[in-house]
Amino acid sequence: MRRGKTDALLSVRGVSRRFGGVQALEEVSFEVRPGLIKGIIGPNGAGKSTLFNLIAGDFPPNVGEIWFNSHVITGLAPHAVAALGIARTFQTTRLFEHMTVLENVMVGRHVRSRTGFTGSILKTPGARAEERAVQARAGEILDLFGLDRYAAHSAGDLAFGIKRKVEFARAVASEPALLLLDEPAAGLNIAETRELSSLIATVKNLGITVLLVEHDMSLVMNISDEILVLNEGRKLIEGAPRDIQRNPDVISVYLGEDECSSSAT
Amino acid sequence: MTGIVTIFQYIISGLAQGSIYAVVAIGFNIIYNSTGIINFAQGEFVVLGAMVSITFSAIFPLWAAIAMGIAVASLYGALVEIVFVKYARAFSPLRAICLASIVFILVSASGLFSFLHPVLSILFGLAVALPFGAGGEFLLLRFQKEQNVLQLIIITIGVSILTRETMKHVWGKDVFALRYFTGTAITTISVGGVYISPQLLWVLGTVTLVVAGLYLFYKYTLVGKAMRAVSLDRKAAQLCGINARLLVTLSFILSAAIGALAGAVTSPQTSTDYKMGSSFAINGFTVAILGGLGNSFAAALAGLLLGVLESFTTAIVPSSYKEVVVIIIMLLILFFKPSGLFGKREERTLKEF
Amino acid sequence: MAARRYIPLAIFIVLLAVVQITVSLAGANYYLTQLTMSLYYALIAVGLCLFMGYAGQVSMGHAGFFGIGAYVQAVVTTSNLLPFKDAGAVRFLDSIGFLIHGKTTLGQPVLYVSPWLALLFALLITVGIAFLIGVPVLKLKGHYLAMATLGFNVIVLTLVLGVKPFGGADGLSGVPPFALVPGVAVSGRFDARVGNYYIAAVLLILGIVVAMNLVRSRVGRALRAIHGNESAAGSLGINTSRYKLYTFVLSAVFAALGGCFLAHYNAAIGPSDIDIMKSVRFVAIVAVGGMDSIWGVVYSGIILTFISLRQVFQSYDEIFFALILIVVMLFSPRGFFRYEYVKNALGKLRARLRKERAG
Ligand SMILES: Nc1ncnc2c1ncn2[C@@H]1O[C@H](COP(=O)(O)OP(=O)(O)OP(=O)(O)O)[C@@H](O)[C@H]1O
Ligand SMILES: [Mg+2]
Repeated sequence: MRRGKTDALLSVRGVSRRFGGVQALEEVSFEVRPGLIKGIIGPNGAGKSTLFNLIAGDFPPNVGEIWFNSHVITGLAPHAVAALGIARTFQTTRLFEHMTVLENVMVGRHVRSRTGFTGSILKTPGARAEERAVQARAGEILDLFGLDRYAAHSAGDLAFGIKRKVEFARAVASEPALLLLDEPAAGLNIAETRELSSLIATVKNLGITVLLVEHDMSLVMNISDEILVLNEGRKLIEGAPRDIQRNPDVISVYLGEDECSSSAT
Repeated sequence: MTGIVTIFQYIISGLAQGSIYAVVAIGFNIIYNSTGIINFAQGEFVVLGAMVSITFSAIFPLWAAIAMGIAVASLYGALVEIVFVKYARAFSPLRAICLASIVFILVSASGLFSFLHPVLSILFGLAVALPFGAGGEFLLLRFQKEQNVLQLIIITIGVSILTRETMKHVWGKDVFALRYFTGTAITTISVGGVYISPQLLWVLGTVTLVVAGLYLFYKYTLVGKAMRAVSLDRKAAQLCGINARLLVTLSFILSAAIGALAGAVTSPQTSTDYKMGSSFAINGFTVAILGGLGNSFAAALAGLLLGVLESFTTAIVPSSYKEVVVIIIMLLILFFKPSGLFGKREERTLKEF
Repeated sequence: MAARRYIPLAIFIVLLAVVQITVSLAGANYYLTQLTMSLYYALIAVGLCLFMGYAGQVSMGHAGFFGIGAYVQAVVTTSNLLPFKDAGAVRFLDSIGFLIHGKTTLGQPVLYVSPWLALLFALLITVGIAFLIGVPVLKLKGHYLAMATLGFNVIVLTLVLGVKPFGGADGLSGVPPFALVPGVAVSGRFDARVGNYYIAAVLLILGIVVAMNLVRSRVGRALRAIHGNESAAGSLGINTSRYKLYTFVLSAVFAALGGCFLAHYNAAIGPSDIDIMKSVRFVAIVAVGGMDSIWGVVYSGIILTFISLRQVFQSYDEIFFALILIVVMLFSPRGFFRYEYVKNALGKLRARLRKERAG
């Protein structure tokens, strides 16, 4: 076993990923300490979602390693990564549209339950008890997210903001050690964003470490304990929100790619 | 010396067989590029083209058959139209006419004898397959409520069975063959000690023309360019004012047309029966993925390659296992190199379907 | 709440009994023959429904698994071991009661392997092949998956036609009755029609219960999640390829089981029972039933197979199946026979009655 012991929950080491001619990530390294919220910002195409996909096991990095809880998780399939305690949401919500909200969240309990084919078919007492427990816990999660009144609604019929919240709840239902949130505030209105912010804080209080990709600067800056800035696939800088806000490189990256933010000068 | 001649003999007959696979594969690709689906009925287009060509290669008392055909077809067309209108919410005379013509031709085609010049009969075959392709598209792909791949697969499979079974009723289970274009079955020309049938030259010539014609069509005509644009990015093409729907219809017509043509030119040597379509489809699909789905010029090469390969395997395994060999090749490609022999791995992940 | 789930099951059982009693009272027991076969085919459809409707995959090759089950069962039980009766293995099997001393229809004595043992063997082979095929094939999606499974079907058919012991184009006949327990045998004998109808019914009901339990469980939820969004399902820890594989194998077992019993019931199996058209038919039945509606698939399986076996459409049978497939996919992709349609209709009716009473 290679040495990799740190006090970090997640440790990304020299990770690169290429898509055809596009170098989406290049030599990115950073760590996430347990119990914190780490924000990741960067212009469009900086490689933020690619980073999440690498951590979650959608595809392997071309070079580099990813450590989680002192295991190497590079090359593991998504379900194996999830089983180790990493949950995620997607930049565009991916709900099980033809299932109810409750069922969606119950699927979130998959890693926390174990009934297999035989148990299901035979409907063993253990399987039944577990099913009841899953349902009860999913109900609690719905309550926590204020989604209880949508429990029986078909997920496909929900309003956009609610869908986002269901996806968030579904990920939290697996009680992960690390939660990856990819632009959870995108498309939400001000009230919804505020609610999201407090939900993220709640989740942190549950002991879940959060890695947050977000374009909404006020949200990330307020809520994150640390921030990592990516630009064109490379790590630009890493530090406390205050320092990031003042950093001239960060400002120029954002100015360079987006004229609307020129008011920041 | 004789060994080399035998090898050439195998290669030549493989090329002939491969030509038709190539054309079926190109047919798959044309439709795939414009719709993103595989048309499982592609093989039936080929058989239909051949069958109709064969039938019209006979001379018959025309008026009686036509009159009856028109009557039955109009009724049937009207009936189907009513059924479909109910759901499509708009009356489409075009659809009715398409349906009517399919049935008219199928009905009047049954039981007709005598002989026409083969070239003329091919024209007839084309004339049938064209509206059939268009009609199939109109009926089956337009009025989808929600398009998903599973549904589309099942629908084209349904169309393929429908076509095949209809052909069974029209032409029966017999095996037919078109007359040889030049000479007879035993006419051969000797090229350096290798004896080949002149029909083979017709086949290879036709396939070459089809491939060259398609190349010019896609490269230089406005419609061809538009079709390429649609296959690259449908939305963007529509924004540029391209009528994507019309082009989808056109792609069905085009692939049915070249399929029918291939069916007709190969019929003298390979013969034709109503149920050949599914093996054309399997072989053609194998070729299409061998070349990389969507890439017609690679498909032409892959077709010839598979034909030659198959020709050599018949020297080793009994010919009843020919199809198994092709399927195993298909499975191997699907498992190990789904982007095709000439494709890059990345391309396929980008073109999800 | 839990009792409610069993209402459709109770209705189904009552319907089965009512049909049998009506048919028998009318002196039309010959209908039972086709009905029995329809029940077996419905079992196959229920299995395919799990794979297509719940896991959201497509198989154009389930007639292949049907064939593997039926052919293995038929080959094993029609092999006469009498010439080898002194061989050690044969003597051993005989001594532990795994061989049966019977007579052919012509009255000649035969010694053959017990159908129970054959069944076990057939199912094990099916499971093995389904695993072998499934591992690579289920990595494919959409058209590729359809073509690959279709290819599998063609391979099975070609082998059956080409390999001598499988009887070539004639298939195998003379499959002996399958004595489940003394006195109860799966066979096509005229005087055993009623009993066989209920044997098929019990097997189908068992299949339905298995399917229902699976669907309403953690596994069923996972399958529907895979169907809904495979990448999201994976991100929640569902081993998507394993779930798809197990479901594929399970549905193959359903198909093979149907094949084994039908081989005994018809006393024969032939290549025309396992061609691609049969696979398409299974898909049509599942589509008409509504893909992810087990009860819908049960009813569509029984009704469509019965219609076909009665030769209602004569030689236009395939056309009928093709048309129904197209029409259902075009206009009602969620099927015709869904339980919720009945429920909705009943609900509307009730609402209207209530309104009338009130107004
Ligand atoms: N699966 C893929 N195939 C090919 N290219 C990809 C793939 N995923 C990402 N890319 C490319 O990699 C680069 C980084 O994309 P990524 O989605 O990671 O950016 P991002 O930082 O999440 O941007 P955004 O803020 O817009 O979400 C982009 O150029 C993108 O086109
Ligand atoms: Mg992103």
